[in-house]
Amino acid sequence: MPCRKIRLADHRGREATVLLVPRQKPPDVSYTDPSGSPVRFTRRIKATETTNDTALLSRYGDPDSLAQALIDGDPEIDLQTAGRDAGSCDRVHVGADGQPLYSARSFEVIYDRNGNEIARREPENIPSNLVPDAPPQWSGKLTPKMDVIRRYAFTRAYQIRHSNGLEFDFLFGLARYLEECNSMVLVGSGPKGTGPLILERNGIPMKGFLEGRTKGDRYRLVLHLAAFELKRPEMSS
Amino acid sequence: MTRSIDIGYRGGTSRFYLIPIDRKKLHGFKRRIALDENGNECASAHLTRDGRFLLRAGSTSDLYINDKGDTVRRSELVTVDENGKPLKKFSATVGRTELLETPGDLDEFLSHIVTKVHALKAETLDSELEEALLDGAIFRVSYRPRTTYTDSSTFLLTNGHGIFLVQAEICSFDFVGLEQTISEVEAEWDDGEDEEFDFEIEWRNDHALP
Repeated sequence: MPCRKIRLADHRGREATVLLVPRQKPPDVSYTDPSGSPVRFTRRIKATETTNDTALLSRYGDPDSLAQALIDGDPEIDLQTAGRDAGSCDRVHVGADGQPLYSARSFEVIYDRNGNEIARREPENIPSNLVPDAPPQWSGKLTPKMDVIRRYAFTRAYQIRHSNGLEFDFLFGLARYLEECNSMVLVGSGPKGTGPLILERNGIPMKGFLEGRTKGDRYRLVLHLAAFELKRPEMSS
Repeated sequence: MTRSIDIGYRGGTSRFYLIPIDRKKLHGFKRRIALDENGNECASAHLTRDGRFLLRAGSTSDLYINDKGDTVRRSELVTVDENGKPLKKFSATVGRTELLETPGDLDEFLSHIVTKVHALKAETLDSELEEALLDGAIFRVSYRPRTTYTDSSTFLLTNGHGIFLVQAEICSFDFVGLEQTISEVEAEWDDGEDEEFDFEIEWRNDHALP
């Protein structure tokens, strides 16, 4: 999959579209059984649409009859099917009759911080705004690192890299400037460059801060993204 | 039940209760639903690729099987690295006092991404610890609510809104020079990264393993 890009402006009024490189995740662990034989995860079918809870209750009419049927026999087990590997599946919507729907209307439901529904609306697709059509603006909002990291929860980080010499000069200069300021700069969308960043379509809006350091003729520029501020929820815990 | 943590610093001890926080609890959230022709919310289900089985919630079982096809209990699983070598087990730290040493530095904290955050409610707060936190100290804490096989990083810090325990994962980014160009297709973009962490999902993930 191609690497994602971001269009960045700097303190000198220059701008460039550069690469965003995700962090290397730690290697996944795997499992063995006690004898050292490798194990694998699998998803097996337990019940079908004729043997699931709803179908059984519908077939036997009331919980007592169903309980008696479960004592007398094994109506919940389809011997031909139970234990089969479910394999790859497609996600579908099912109606009240338990059958797949071929068309359904989508709605977006908004909840407040206490989980109460506050609005419903037609869903709208919000595109990523990392590479806007208009040139991005240098926000100029420099904040000491100490203040930024104690205020936001940075749940994502991406390294900003160059793909040619011109981009290297641009990014190295930016990293050195931030290092000299010992600050992080707000990177955002909109006419002032302070709006939220949306990394993928319909992604959550995040606050972006750029941190730069240099070592000799090398640089490290990292985009830190905050999903929320470090503060206490207002609801009672 | 609210979890608690005891923290020792320069001879004093503080006790905090942990209140998990995330974006949902601070800002609310939205989700997409599907409605049928009568305006009723639809349930979702899985349809096997051959179209034979419609699997609603609770219709499947997740399990581990070995080479012989035998089921292996989760409590019997041995966690190994990519070479098949059993991993070191890090025992849970619940019930013991975490002793803080000197504060860590900013760059160390910035080399991590946040995975979980707890707001701390102090039952007892030692004055020396409070003073150090107010001075801007960020302490590293050995906090593990359960036994794990990967050592994690946890930090203790404060701001104007309170004291927070921040669990994090390292992200090692190297310095790059002019010659270290990267092509657009060289780095694999991981679209699977969580947009926001969800304590319910985290809880389920945590409890999926022994």
